[in-house]
Amino acid sequence: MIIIENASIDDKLRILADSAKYDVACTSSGVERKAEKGGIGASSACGICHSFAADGRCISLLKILYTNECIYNCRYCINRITNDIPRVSFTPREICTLTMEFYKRNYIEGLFLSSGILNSPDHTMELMVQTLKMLREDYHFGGYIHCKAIPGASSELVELAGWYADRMSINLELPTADGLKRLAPNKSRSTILNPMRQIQLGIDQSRRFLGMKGGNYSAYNYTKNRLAKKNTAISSSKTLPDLPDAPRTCPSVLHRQSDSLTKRGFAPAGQSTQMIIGASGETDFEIMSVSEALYQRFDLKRVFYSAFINVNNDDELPAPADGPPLAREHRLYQADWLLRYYGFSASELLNEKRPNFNPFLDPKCDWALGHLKDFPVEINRADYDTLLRVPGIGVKSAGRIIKARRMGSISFNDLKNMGVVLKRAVYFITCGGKMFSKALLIDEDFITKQLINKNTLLRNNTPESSITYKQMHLFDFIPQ
Amino acid sequence: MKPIRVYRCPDTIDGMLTGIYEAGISRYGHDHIRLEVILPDCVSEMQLFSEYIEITEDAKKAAAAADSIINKISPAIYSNIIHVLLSAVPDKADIAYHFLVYAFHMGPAVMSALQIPWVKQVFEISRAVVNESHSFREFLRFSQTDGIYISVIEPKNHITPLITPHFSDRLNTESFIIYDKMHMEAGVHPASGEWYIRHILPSEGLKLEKMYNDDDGLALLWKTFFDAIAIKERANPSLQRNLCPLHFRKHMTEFTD
Repeated sequence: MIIIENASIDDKLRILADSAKYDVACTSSGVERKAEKGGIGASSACGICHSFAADGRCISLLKILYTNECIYNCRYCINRITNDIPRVSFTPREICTLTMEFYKRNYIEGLFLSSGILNSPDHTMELMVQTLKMLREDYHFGGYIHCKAIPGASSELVELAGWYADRMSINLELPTADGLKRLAPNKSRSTILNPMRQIQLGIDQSRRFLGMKGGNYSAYNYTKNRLAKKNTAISSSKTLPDLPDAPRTCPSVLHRQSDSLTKRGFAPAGQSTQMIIGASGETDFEIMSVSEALYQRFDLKRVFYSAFINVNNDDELPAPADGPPLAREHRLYQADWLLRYYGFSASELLNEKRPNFNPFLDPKCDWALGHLKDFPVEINRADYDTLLRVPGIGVKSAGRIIKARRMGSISFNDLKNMGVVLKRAVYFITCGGKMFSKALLIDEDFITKQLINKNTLLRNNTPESSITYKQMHLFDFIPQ
Repeated sequence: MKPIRVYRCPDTIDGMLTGIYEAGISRYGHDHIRLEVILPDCVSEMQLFSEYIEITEDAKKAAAAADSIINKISPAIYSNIIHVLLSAVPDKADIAYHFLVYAFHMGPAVMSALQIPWVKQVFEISRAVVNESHSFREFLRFSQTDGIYISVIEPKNHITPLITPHFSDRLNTESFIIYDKMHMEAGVHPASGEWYIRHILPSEGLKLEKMYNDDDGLALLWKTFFDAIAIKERANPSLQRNLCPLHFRKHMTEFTD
């Protein structure tokens, strides 16, 4: 370990941003808060990305570690104790100055603070809490703060961090307890799940006693409630016995605090976590089941997936020749959306016999091809949840269809205006009882070929040449 | 055949609302009415068998039009109309007028009827304007000179009035100027005061551009951070281009040398 004592702020920023970049979450969404008079900074519920790095990932927050010194030896981590890399630490004041100055120039939405373990988990967490306190109380910063909970830190410190931060997260790291034991010998499931449970209950209590404070519920929660109203509750996941069930009524986890501390609520933007994909040999089905269990039992806002990169060239860990498993990570994110917004369950998408996603088809198309008996769906009559299950129809377009058909019947041409991706949807829908073209068959082989083949029958032979196929713009999903 | 009547409105919100007001109370028949916006440096082609009416901006008539849209339809529809009138679409006043004909008939639910071409156009234009203003909330960059934060932007639509309130909330203790070089207007926020929009003369514009300085120590730190945060193994320039298109990068600190 090479500790650099008097590094320049530029060196510190470079080293500590470089070590923080493997953390995926950079969202600034989930809480709507106006600036305080005389303070700097507000928060927008939709989240605001301020830039996009060379890898295409968004930069929303100043994502840094407090220090990259670490006493742990997690095999996948660049900062493990056995690595000979330069080690530096920020001071709370340096972090506050950087955050404030970057924020005023509209470079960032706020701060993402994580850290290596300096001396002990408690010592590290204390330094982080001290930083957040200074930022909120001395600098009157009202922007977004995402804070990592350090596994093994005392519950008092985690609670304090929750009062200062908007979102808390603690990384699950690996989907199975066995993988964790093998690759992160100093961490255990309980040092990760206990604070996760504490934060969940804290958020719940804060919402009940202090109000939402601008925060919102998770997408999974909304979907679950919508389906529960229709008596088609999502089946609860049975896997992962090592995730304890939430005690629904429990003694208060939040302690009496001053009003100035509780005015923002306890982690009003909720909680998230992340898993490393492809380091320890799990199947997609196992990963999705873990995510589902986390959404159901820990009320998480998001689970992030991080394609494993063998930064340490560790012999025991896989090092695929064609780079990190980005395509697999993409499929997992697609499936994650199906869980949270579309009301799918993990066991519908995958099962023990077919435990991995199809690399050629997205999970929704793949599911639809396995359930052709449910199709085609009539656009002018099908209910919202049936529409949501059609490939090419999303949350926004399904909502627009429901509203538009109250005003008159809908044709294929109108669907394009509503943002439906006809390229995928045409095989699964009828408008006014008619398919898009007589040449279309509801046949698994036929549709698979059409969906995979770039040069499809539809593109060459459109009956209505005015129809073009266009993927919607990202910002369409941000409420106007 | 009844001749087409063309109302020529100035390219201001009040000017176009005045045109909408005049066309609305004329009882001439909606199918025979067109609204045209007088755009600078642009000579419109006059058409045969049409009568042309020049509209002069009238704050009272514009306010009357706004009030009846808000009260008889809904505030949400009014904000859609404002987005359309702030856009760079040449036919915007005509689209807004014909949309309003349906809107007064159908009420606030008109926005759901995307089957109607006028509604579809308003929906799309309004969405584009909102999306562009969101992009500038993301990609706008301030530089600091003598305690004043200055930003230069080149948006397609008149989005300055839409984004200035956002910044005046979060930066309420600071003085800032958002200078829209395309439309020669600026959103100005004096420290702890109310924000306003004003026109900018070319000489003032040059001065503002000179004051914009994204080369100080913090800008360099930001560039350091921007380079360090990317994962080399995941390099993906086309995704980066999709999410942050090149035309925004001209005034973004991290993309300028």
